[in-house]
Amino acid sequence: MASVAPDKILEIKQLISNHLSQSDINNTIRDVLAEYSQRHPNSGPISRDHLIRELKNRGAVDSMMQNIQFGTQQPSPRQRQKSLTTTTRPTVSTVDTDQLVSVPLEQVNFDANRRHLYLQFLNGKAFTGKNNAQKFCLFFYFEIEILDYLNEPQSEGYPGYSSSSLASSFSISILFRNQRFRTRPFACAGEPYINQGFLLELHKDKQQGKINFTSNKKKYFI
Amino acid sequence: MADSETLLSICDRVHIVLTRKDTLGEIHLVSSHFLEWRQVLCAPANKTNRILELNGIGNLSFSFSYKRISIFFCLGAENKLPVGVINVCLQIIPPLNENISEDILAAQLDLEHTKSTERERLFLIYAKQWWKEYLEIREEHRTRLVKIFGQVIFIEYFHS
Repeated sequence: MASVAPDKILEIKQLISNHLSQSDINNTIRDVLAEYSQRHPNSGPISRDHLIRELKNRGAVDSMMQNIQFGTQQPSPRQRQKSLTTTTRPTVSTVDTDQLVSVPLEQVNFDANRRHLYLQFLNGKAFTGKNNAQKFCLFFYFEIEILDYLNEPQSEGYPGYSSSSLASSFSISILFRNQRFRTRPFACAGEPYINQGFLLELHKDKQQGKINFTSNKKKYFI
Repeated sequence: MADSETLLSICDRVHIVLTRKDTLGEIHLVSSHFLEWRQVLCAPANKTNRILELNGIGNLSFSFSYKRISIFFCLGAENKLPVGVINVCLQIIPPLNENISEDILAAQLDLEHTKSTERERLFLIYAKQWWKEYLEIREEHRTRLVKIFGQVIFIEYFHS
C-alpha cells in the first residue's frame, strides 16, 4: 500500500464507492435492517458481523463481486474460451442493464478482436402520444380517431416492463449491416424507461467472417 | 482489428424503427430514424450520449362533413410531427487507440453527401432522357398516362 500514490488511493476509493452505489447494495442493507428490527424489536442496533452474514446469505455480496470489471473490456480467458466454443451463436446479443448510464457488459460474450458499436437506448422523453392517427371508413362518410395511446390504461406493475398483453406498448427495432434486433416491449408513457443495449458488429475481418449466421438471425427479423 | 480509418469509411447508418402494439395486438409503425453513429469516433474514450429526435410517419387525417358530403384529407409522408426524443449511449468496444478529429469526420460526411447528391442528379438526368425518348417513339405515347416516379414512406431508402 505504501507504494501507491495518495491520489491513486483516492481514485480507488471513488471507484469502490461508485460500484457500491451502482450495485444497489444500500437498498439490500435497508431491507436487512428492517427485517432485523422486526424480528428483534428489543435487541438494539445490529452487529456488523450479523449484517455481513445476512448479506452473504442473500447472495448480495456474490452478485456484487460478479459485476466487477477488471481493466479494460477484454474478456477473461474463460469467457474467451466460452465464446470460441459457442461460435454457432451470433456473437451479438441483447444486454440487460440495471443502471441508466453505466455499461455493464459482463454477461455478454463477444469477440474482443473485432470492434463493436454498443448502442444503448436509455430512456425516452416528451413522447406526445397523439401522433398515430387511425381512420375508419363507415358507409359514405369517414370518421377519424386520433388514438391517444398515452391515456390508455396501463397494466399495473413495474414501469417499463408491462407484462399484461392488454396494455399498449412500444418496441424499437434496429437494423445495421444485416444485424437485426428488437427491444423488449416497454410502456407507452410520456417518459418511457427503456434501458436496453445492443452490441453491433462494426467490421468483419475476412478471415473471421466465414461463419454463416443466417439461420440464427431469422428470429430477429421484424 | 479494424482501425479508425476502416471504421470511418463505414457509411451504413443504424436504422431505428419505433413500433407500437395497441391493446388489440395490432402493430403500428410510429417512427423511423437513421442514426449516424460515426460521431462516436471523435468522442473521448469513444463513448458519447446522444439525443435522437423521432419524427412520426403516420398518416394524419382530417375530415369534415357538410350536408352529407364528407371531405377527407390525408397527409402523406411529408407529415413529420415529432413523436418524442430518446436518449441513447454509443460506445466503441474495444476503444480506438487514437480518436479521429472532427474535421476529418466532417470532411468524410461532406464527401459522401456530395457523392450521393451527384448520383441522384445523374439518375434524374437519365430518367428525363428516358422519358424524352419514350415520347418520341410513337405519337400516341404523348397522350398515354405513365407513372414513372413513385414515392415511398421511407424516402431514405433511395439513398442507402
